[in-house]
Amino acid sequence: MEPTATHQFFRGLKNLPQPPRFAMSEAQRFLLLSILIGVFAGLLIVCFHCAIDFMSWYTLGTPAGSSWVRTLLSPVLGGAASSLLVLFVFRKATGSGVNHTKAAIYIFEGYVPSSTVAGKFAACSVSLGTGTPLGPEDPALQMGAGIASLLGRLFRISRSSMRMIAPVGAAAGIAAAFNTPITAVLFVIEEVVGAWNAGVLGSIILAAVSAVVVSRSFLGDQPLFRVPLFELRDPAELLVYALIGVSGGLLSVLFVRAIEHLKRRAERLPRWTVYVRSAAAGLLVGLVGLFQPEVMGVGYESIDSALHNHFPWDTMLILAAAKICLTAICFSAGTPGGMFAPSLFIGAMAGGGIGALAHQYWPLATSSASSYVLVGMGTFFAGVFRAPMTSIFMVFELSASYMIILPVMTANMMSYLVSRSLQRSPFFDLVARMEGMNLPSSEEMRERPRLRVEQAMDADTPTVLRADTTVKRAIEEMRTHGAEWRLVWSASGIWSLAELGTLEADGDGQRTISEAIPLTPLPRVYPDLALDSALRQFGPYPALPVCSRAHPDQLLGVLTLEGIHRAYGIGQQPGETSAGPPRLTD
Amino acid sequence: MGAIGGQSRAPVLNGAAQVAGGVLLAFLILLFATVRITQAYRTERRDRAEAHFIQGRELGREQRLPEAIEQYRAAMSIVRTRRDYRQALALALFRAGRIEEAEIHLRQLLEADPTDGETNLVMARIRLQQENEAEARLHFNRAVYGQWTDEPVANRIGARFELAEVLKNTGARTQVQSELLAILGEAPVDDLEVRKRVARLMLENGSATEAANLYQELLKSNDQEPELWAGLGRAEFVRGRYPEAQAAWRSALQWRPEDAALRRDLEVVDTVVSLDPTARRLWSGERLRRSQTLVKLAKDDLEACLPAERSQEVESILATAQETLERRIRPGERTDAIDANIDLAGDLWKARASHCAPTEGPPGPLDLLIAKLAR
Repeated sequence: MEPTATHQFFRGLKNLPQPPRFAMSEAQRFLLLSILIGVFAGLLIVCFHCAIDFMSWYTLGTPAGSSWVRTLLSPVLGGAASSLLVLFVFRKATGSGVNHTKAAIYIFEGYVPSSTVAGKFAACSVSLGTGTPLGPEDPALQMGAGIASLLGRLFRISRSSMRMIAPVGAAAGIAAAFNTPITAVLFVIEEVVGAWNAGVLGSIILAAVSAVVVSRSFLGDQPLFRVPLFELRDPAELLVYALIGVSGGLLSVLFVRAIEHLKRRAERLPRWTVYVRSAAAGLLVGLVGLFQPEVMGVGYESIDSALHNHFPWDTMLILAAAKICLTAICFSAGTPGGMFAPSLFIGAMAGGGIGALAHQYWPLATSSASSYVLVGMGTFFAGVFRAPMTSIFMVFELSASYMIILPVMTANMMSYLVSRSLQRSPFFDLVARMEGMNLPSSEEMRERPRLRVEQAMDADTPTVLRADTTVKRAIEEMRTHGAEWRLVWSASGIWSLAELGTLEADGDGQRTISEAIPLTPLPRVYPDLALDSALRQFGPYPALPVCSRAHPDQLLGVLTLEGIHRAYGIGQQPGETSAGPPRLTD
Repeated sequence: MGAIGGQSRAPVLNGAAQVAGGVLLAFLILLFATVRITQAYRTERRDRAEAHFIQGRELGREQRLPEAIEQYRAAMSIVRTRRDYRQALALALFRAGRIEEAEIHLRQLLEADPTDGETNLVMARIRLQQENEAEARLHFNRAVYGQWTDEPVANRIGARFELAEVLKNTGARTQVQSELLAILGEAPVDDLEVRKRVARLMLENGSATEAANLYQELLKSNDQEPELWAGLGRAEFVRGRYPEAQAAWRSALQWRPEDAALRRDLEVVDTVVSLDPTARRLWSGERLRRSQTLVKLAKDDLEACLPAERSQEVESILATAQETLERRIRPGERTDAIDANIDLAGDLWKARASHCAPTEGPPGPLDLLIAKLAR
């Protein structure tokens, strides 16, 4: 039977070239997964945001503080309910999100329990919605990490990728909660990852961006604060900003020490008090809230009001002091919530208070108080978390003003330096220690001194042989100096190595080195290269040439394993000094 | 080998498909939940914000501004993107005298929409309070030519009136006049209130003739409006046309007999008209009598205000006046005598101005008449 036209058509289709099969690398799959993590985290954080607001509307009412009964009772009941949820239902949802995400990287190979996500969602919605003066960013960060971990496990990504998946989710969570993708990326890099890791940076950015896109598509794209126009009236005004920075630094030290003290005191209390601590802290919040309702809850509306000159200077200073006390008490009592928002609140109010005073009494022209509120926001954050880059870019991102960069840099660095000089550990390191976790300090990781090749190389270079030297002459030279090897220089600009044993195996010794033995090019290292990078290039060689970067053929020294051991202090007796560590970093 | 490889790959693919399917399902469930939650959230948020806004408006109407401000703030803390909430808050803050705070909100509103009429108008008022007239005028102009959602014509006219008031206070007469003429062009022909206000402002701006013309035009169709008659009387009074002013004010009093101020003004103008020797349709005897009365009143006024010790010059002019009053005038000398009397009255008034303290209050009939005769 003759094939019909239809048959021929379908046969033709079968014979068409097949589309290529997509075979994605692990890195590509990780990037795609990052987008998925961002989307999931974004959706979850949108729900979290709505849940907090719903809780707040139905418990505290609008505007907050309009009913004294609700103001007094909501934080008590909310504190009790949230702490009981954590103590009895979601036991793994305790503690700081940042530290648990770090633990996922360094201890649990990317594993974050999924119950953490539900636990943080439920407990923090209740506590923050009922007026606890903590923030939603840290729980959001942990929820993001939890989502990422779950997706990573489902898609069975490799062990090394799995280890870095928690920070990707963390960035997505914080970006969606704070609506600031740059800040989220920087915060995770500075505080969670601890170093610029090119391998994970792309994924963190993709996750943050996709989370913010999802969040904005549901909640709108208006910024967190309506920031008024910023102006620097006079360069001398930077002194006021420096003063705000110093104040922010001092307050941050006070705050961290207060938390340390209160946490230790709380540990000494009888065990049964864990069930009532959050309720008691909530009662204090309610009592203060009767007079200053602005301290209750996350506090972004109050920051926004301060940005618009709603508060006089004395009120702002009172609010800063009250928030410091209440935040420290609630956090130490174990009420679920984060520190991101309170640190912004305290910095904004303290900065605004000082700025408003300066506005009145500073002899030169000054900006309006709102400018100081904006700059002050980052100072307390810089002092508490010791994440200077995040603190600077956060205010920059929030204000979208180029003019603000000088005051922000001045104030935040002052705060950071004051905090560093007076407080040994940054906040998260302190909390990790108190939670019994042995995690690497992000600050130490950032500032860990690195040994360089120049600290390990031998500058007294041994004799260098030319490739056209006869084997006999080379053997004589090595025997004379008792050397086992010599660097060989070829006219083509290649450094290689000739070993005594190999040369001795050559018959009459009249041939040149290049004729007698194969000359394998050696990798070159440079004096400024990190020693651990140089070590990776060592391979089977007994030595590597250290060359000048300006004149690559110029030999500056030789790097040997003995030199490296000496620099690292390996094999030294206690009390002997090694070459490092130097104080300078990369 | 190929068959074995194919068999071993199938479960892996099945597992991956199941995971992908599960993740997709989870995504759809989460998406659905988020959509529903955010819908409920938006509705609740909108309703709560609207309730605060409405309450704020009610409180604002009752002049309970601090409470109204709190309500607007509550509305704005729930929904920050609503322009009308911010505008209401800014207006309430302005009305409550919290200028600095109001200004911040207004600036933000103007950043978002620099053409908004109402925002520009309030900003202009703030600038005026801050004595920054240049910027106030700029914002008034933007208000005049800006966008208004409600009653654009009336609001633009209102803004023009405020601008005209500002210009009037700075003495920019021509610009005031042009604004007032623009209002006349924009306002509906039957809008009596606007036209009355324009006429009043014209009068205050020193354009009495134009004001009188406008009043007369308005009276053609509204001759029972006492305010128009009073305004016309004032315009004619300013122009020195006292009989016309007298007639207009008499008409006004017909409709508003209880107006004491108007009655006082009419009494003054009655006196002026009754003393005026140059009035039309008088026979020469009456003109002479009026000129003599004028001299007598001026002389009495001078004598009453002079101190005990008088200068030679004053004594001389008083003596001349006395002589003039006692002299008998024959009918043929009347015209010259009238002119001489008017001049003498003027001299007496000048002497009074240079030797006596100035009198307070509005000018009296004698002031007005002698000033008119001097013209």
